[in-house]
Amino acid sequence: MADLTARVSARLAARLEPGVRRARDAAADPVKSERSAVVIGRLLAAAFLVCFATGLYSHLLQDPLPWIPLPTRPAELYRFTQGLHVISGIASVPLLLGKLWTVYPALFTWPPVRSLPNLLERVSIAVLVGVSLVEVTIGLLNIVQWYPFPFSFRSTHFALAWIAIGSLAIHIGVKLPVIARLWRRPARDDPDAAGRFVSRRAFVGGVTAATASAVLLTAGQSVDALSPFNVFAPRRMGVGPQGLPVNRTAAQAGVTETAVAPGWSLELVTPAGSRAFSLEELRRMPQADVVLPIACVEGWSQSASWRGVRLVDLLAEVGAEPTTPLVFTSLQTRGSFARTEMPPEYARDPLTLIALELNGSVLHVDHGYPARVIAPGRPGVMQTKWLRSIEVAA
Amino acid sequence: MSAARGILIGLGLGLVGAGGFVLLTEVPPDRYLGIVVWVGAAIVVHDAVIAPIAVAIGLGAARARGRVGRRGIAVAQGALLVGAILTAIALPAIIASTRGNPNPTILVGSYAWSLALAWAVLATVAAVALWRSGASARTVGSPQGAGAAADTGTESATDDGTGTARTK
Repeated sequence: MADLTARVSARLAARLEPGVRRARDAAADPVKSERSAVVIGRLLAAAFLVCFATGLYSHLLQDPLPWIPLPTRPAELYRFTQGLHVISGIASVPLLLGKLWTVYPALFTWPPVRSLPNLLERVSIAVLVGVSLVEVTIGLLNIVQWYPFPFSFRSTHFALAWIAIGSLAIHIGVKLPVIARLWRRPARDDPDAAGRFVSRRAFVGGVTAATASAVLLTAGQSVDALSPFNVFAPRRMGVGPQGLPVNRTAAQAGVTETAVAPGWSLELVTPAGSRAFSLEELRRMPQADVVLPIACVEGWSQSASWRGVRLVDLLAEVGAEPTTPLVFTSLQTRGSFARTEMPPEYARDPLTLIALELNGSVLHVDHGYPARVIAPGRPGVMQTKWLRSIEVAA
Repeated sequence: MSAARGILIGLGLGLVGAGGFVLLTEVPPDRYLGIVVWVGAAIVVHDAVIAPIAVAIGLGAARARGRVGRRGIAVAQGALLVGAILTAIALPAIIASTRGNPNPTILVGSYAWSLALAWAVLATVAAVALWRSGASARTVGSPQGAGAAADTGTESATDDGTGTARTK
């Protein structure tokens, strides 16, 4: 039996080995050197780390941990971090493909596995490669709101992010001696040396050009200065009702009738009892003007002028002092953000409004008419539209 | 060095474990198969489709380099790379646009036209670079000049040798 196994594996090896060698020779290129892998790899690692940190921050804002205080200022902080999340994710596409190009010949080794540590390393690289490719792919699909994958975006993107960054740390740990040795260009190494078809300098230049053009042609959905170059991003600044894009329309949220129904009132529930504010009452209260961005989890953002009642003033009307998270309920019947919580630090911030107007006119129904929340530094999905009630716990 | 390696690998295992914990607690078990299939398919699509195409383009470029000159082929490949990346970025938007979205403020661009325009610009840049470097390759045309690269088979073999020696 052992003899048979040995014969079969010897036959298999004899058949496969030449093919593997041929593939390696075909893919080999002097430019696909360890130094090239380090040059592209550290850029990719930087992009992944930025993407991971900003993604983590977005999840923290949506599911706060009681022992981590959240900053309400700068008011544009979330706009910055989430814009950066999608920008670094898009930059990862050419960097990841470029990195894989430099190491592709290493896929073809014979024997495929030399030892147990070698097997573990290859498995960890397979996880890193597969998960990284899936993360950038579903990220790109999510920003265009196309969901052809059989799992939920939010929780899967979050779980795989930890696995990607963890397997990246393992990979860097394994390769640390090589990375340290080639962090600076070795004395005899020439970036202009001829490769099979381009030099390393030309290759890195090409990857840089691809990264720069991908970022330049999409970042304008969140960076004002780049908005004239926004060609490929799903959102465009200024395009939408009242000159502002919308994450979820009134029709999508199922509120086209309830939002404009006469007799709407905002219910303020406190331990002392509840009180309803009609739209007229809210309009008669002192109005404040603030400039705050709408910053979507999908990466687009735009600053806008809002007018309405300061949340602190409204809470003072009923004698409530927020010390625990407030609960906002929307008229919307569909979607996971019909009910949101607001940590007390945002409720106490004087910039936080129950907004009634946007850019100089009454809120469009797609922007949350009759009333919506607008607070500094929060994800757009937490800026609850079509408000129905606010609950203040004891 | 070995301490730093140990810390990084330990940290990595911890982070992977955290990801596993999120998978176990926040993702319903009936979704696991789909996730595994997508991760596996991503590896196969890259290793068996995208990367071989890149290798084939490289081999073709190496063969053509002798006729059209080094600089031209480098610019043409750079243009191809930029175009491929822009296509990867634009393709989801193009397909999602044809599927439609009830929200009129998303997918507001003309992505297919923009992509066609980007390719036209890149093709023009590549054509100009190829024409100029081809012209200089022809005028220099001596065995010591760019014309020497015309002998493609042996040329790439020598490149391999010297380059490998340099990087190893």
